[in-house]
Amino acid sequence: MDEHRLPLRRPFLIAAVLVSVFLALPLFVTLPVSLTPTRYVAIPTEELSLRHYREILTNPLWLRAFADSFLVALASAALALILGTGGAVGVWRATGFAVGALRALALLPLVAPPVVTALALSRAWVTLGLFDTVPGVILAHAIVSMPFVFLTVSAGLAGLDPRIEQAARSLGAGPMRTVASVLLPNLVPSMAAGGLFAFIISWDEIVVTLFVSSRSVFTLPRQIWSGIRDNIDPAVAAVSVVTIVMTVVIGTAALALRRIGSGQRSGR
Amino acid sequence: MSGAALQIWGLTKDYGSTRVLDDVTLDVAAGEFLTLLGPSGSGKTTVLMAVAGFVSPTHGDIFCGGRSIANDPAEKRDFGVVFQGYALFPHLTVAGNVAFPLKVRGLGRAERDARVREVLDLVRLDGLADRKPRELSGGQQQRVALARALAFRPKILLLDEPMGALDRKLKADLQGELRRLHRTLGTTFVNVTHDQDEAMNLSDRIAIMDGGRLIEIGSPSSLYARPRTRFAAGFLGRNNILEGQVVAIEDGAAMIDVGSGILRHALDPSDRLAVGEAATVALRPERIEIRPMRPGIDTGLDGTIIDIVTGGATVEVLAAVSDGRTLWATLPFHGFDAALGRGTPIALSWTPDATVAIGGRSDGSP
Repeated sequence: MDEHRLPLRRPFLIAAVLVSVFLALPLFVTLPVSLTPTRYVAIPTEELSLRHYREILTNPLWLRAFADSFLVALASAALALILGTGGAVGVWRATGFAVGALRALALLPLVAPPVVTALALSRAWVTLGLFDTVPGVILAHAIVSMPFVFLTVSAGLAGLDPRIEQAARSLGAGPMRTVASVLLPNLVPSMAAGGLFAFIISWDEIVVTLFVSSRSVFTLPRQIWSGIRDNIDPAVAAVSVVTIVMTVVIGTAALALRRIGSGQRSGR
Repeated sequence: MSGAALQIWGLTKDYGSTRVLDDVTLDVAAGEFLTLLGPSGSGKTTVLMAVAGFVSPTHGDIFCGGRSIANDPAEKRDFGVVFQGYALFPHLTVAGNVAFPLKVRGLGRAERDARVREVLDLVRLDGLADRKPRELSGGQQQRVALARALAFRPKILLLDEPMGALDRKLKADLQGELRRLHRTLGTTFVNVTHDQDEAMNLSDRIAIMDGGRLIEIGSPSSLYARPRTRFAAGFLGRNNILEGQVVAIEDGAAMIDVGSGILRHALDPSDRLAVGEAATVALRPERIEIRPMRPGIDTGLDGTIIDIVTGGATVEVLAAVSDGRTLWATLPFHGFDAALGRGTPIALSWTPDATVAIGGRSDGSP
């Protein structure tokens, strides 16, 4: 029956597999390289070694990069979560002309080319004294990742009857209580998904980071960037593998949560 | 005014330059079941939402227990509201939904549980307390919405198209349920619907609305038997509308020339008909009989059958009179003359008290 419904199913399936393989290709190089026993970048031929993983767990440069990245990702995700959720709820409540305008505004960081955003933020951060500071990088990442929270939470809200807010009010709950005990509990899965998306976006972010930091903040992608420019060290491959694993795990969790968030009420 | 649970006074609402409510004034008596009935866009839901506190009036005021509540936030009004689509909280169970207003009011756990059980029992939902709303049928969801709105024992229950999403059979069951609840609780119910059958079956009084205005208000039987406006006559059940001119007034009756004949209309004390002026009367199809006029008793017109529709207990006959206008006559199925068919010439007759004089204009103004 599926074949009947989609006559082109097989070619599309093959295309999908090819694209997936192409996208996953870096991993097929990175993973073996990270396990090489040599000091230089090579595909291991005789034996495998975890020495480069030991290296990134002991080298203070890499440890600091992990710490910086984790702090920046956590803080910027929290900030993006607050801004994105607030924005999504506001647009959900708005009516008429305001809806389209506010939506477009909230998604602007997603549409603008990263280099443009990066340059704008770089200039602004110098003026505001945020350049090359941890708060500056956190704020920049929050701006870049906010649209993902906005979109995810908006999808969750789309499945909610706007009248549940009125219902809560009519039952005696004030505006704050309505948000806290009716709106937010229904948005938990979407918010969690949005927060995780924001986290991995910050974890991977390089373009904006390069433009708003110089000496004091070294996130992981920035450390990798410097690492491959100075000397090509297989430790970079090990870091990449760790980053890829984190991204896949968190991204999968976020996708699963998003499904729950926008799908739980579809049976209505 | 004593005995009024709710007074709506001069309620007007403008959205920009669009007037959606125009000077609506009405009282709802304590314990009454009042239905706001009208087509979509008539403003009935806006009235209800203004009472609930979700629409702030441009002009006018709303009083509850003699005190203006127009500026009170919705959560301070203590009215139960059953929303269109029910607006149940998807993250809470049935019991959680019903307990919500009690929790907000700070009731202790034991009392809350007792109240939830009591009200779920009242709407016959015991046994489903632990289900989530999405696991319930439409009818069950409606009952949860009712239970939630009644749990805190509001003085007034507001219902916005509560049967809107239900099929016919379920509607009938739930109408019975609503009547029973209203009887047992003695709470004032204000219902909004576009369904005239629902309004007739449920209400103590019906307020008919159109174009943002209150057209006519009265008991279902008085609105059915003696509508004063053309809109009410046409909206509540089927009616034949006959227009003509008063040619004489004699022996408590007006003789009205409707073009295809002269009708005798028994005058009601409220009728304001004068010789030489235009008159419009409404005639219920079930008051028409197909038989020759009895001299001195009946009035009527001659016509020809255009169509016959068998509706079960009744047969609807569509007949054309001499000037081409059509009338519907409803006859009992039992005893219907099978010899009648399309094209049969017939005499349509009724007693002079069957016609009701109505205002010429649909807005009810004289």
